[in-house]
Amino acid sequence: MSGRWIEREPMYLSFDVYNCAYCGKNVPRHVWLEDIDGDDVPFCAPEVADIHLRTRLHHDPTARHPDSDLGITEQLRLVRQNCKALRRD
Amino acid sequence: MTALGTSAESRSVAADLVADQVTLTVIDNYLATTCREMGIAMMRTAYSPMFNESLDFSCVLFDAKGRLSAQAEFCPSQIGTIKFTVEWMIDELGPDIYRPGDVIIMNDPYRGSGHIPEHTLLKAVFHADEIVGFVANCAHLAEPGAKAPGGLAGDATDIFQEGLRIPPLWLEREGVPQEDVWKIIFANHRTPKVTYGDLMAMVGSLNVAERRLTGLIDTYGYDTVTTATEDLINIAERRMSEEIRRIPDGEYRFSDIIEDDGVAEGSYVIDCTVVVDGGNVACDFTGSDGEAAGPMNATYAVTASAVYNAFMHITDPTIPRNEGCYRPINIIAPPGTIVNCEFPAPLVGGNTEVSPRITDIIFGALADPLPERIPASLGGTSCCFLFGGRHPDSGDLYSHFHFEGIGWGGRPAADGNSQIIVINGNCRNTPVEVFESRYPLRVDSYRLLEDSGGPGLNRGGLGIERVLTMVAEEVTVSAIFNRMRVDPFGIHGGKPGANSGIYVRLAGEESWSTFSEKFGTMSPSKFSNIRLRRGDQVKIVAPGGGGWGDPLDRSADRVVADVAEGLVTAEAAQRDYGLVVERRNGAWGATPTAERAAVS
Repeated sequence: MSGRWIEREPMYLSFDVYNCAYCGKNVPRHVWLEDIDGDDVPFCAPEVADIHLRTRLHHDPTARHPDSDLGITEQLRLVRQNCKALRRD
Repeated sequence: MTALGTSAESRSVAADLVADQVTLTVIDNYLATTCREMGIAMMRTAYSPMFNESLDFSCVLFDAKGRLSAQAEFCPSQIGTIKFTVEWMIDELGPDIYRPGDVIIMNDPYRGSGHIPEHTLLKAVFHADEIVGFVANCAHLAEPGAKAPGGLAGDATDIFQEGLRIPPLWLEREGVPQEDVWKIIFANHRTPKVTYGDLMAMVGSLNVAERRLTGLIDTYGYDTVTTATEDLINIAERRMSEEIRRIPDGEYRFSDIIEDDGVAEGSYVIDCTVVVDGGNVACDFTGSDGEAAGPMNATYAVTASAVYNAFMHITDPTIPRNEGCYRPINIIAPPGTIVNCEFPAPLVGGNTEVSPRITDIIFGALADPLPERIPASLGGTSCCFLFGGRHPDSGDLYSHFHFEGIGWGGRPAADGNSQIIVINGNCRNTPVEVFESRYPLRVDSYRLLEDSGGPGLNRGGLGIERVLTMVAEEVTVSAIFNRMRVDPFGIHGGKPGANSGIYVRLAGEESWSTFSEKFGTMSPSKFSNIRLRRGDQVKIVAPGGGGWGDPLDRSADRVVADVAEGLVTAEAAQRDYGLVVERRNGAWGATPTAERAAVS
């Protein structure tokens, strides 16, 4: 895994919305950009990017990996634990 | 007063709570009642029928960490999205920027709002110079400054045609109205006086909540209120998990169709796999079609809100409605699809049409594992009819969003309700008297539509027909309907409900036409800015709900009662229920057809 946090300042001259590549949710401010096949792919958190990499094919972000070692609700439980955008405590 | 729950799991939850059960119940009800009082303040002080008749608003409370701590029985689509809206507002502005008396406004769908007409106001509540919580409300303004009066342009091709998009801005700073912001809003809305009255009603509602929240802290102390809120959130999470645990583990899939987008030919599939695993559920929309060219797109927040709505309908209604009850419910909505569109796609119909479809899809997916809880499809459209112009009496511009009640689906133990606003709305339509006194349209007829409820052991609720006549020289109308070509589905052998429709008859004409036939609109159900003249008429047909169970199993007594009350015709009774219903010598009776006799 390789990536970096960015803190998105409110954008008014160009409005860029980051969707978490795993769950699709808009990420308001703190975005993890994961380098996947040379592209910066946004996620809620590095742990979420890790789940994405373990469970989905790189070339098709909408396809679930058939050999995933995590059930989908287990994936989402981890996302909820790690995702800053979803977690409010 | 609602107690927190007396089930075994609730009692086991109580063991590790910090606050006692009585205090928790009192505070839970106090918070929910505060939300209701906020709503009453808005209803009684707003200018537009959207607020004081339709009740198209919601009021909620958040704790100091920005977590939803209470809500009441308002508009489900707004309650679900406001969680995301407030989260975004707090994140974008930062947590330390608020001062006492500040009021923030925001309506941007790409920052969590449902669609542009829905404006959210947020206020931080202070006690002893510390933020102790946030109060917020969300309301549908009748006029958001879009290309079409009323805002719902059925043929919009980007978000900029759907109204004035407001990022988080200060409407008031330390109690002082920010005139520059107000002026920009007034200059972009067709009806600035109404906008002013409605927004000020929202501000007043926040002030009510602020007083109630600080009053609660004065009575119980901040630590007790904070601890109780934390406990209530944890109770809600555990009780919702227990409810989900009652659904058999497994993957359940269902899909349905948005019939067109108002801009291009072709329909859109929404596909969902509901994965139940212990006390968690995931609703994965992977496989849904790409985003629509027209305004039939949902944002992530709208999709999540629709999913929450489905689960709130089929789980214990006494679970405290706060952040906790949403936690076990998870949503995956791939960006760039009809369930999570990307900026600057148009989306104003997503909150009115895609939202109820998603809720029905969740119901459809769970129909087999939960046969005792799941209803058939409701009519599934808000029947959005928008109009505006210059009022011939006052000379002022007016603008209104009228939505119509529909039939809801037959239920496991009862028929569906008739003429109820769509499931994501929980609103009311505009009464005829108010309608005619405020706007230059006359209601010529308004009636339940016989045979519109889907036949079933438990029949779908009935839709309605309403005929309106224009009584001004010119009225500009727009519409967003769905279910005009795709049936509201029945389940467990039930039959579909009747479709929706919107038709026009110009002054002097005898027959009704679709707007496509008369004005060449691409879609018969989604269009904007059609100019009608005095004497022209519009007919709104609201769909019925789907039926639940085989109609041949419906008792003869119930079918006879339906025919006697004019809800089902004798022809439909014979065709759908296998009964020849007749009135002889002043008494109703029924004779089974051969088909019915063969299965009974």
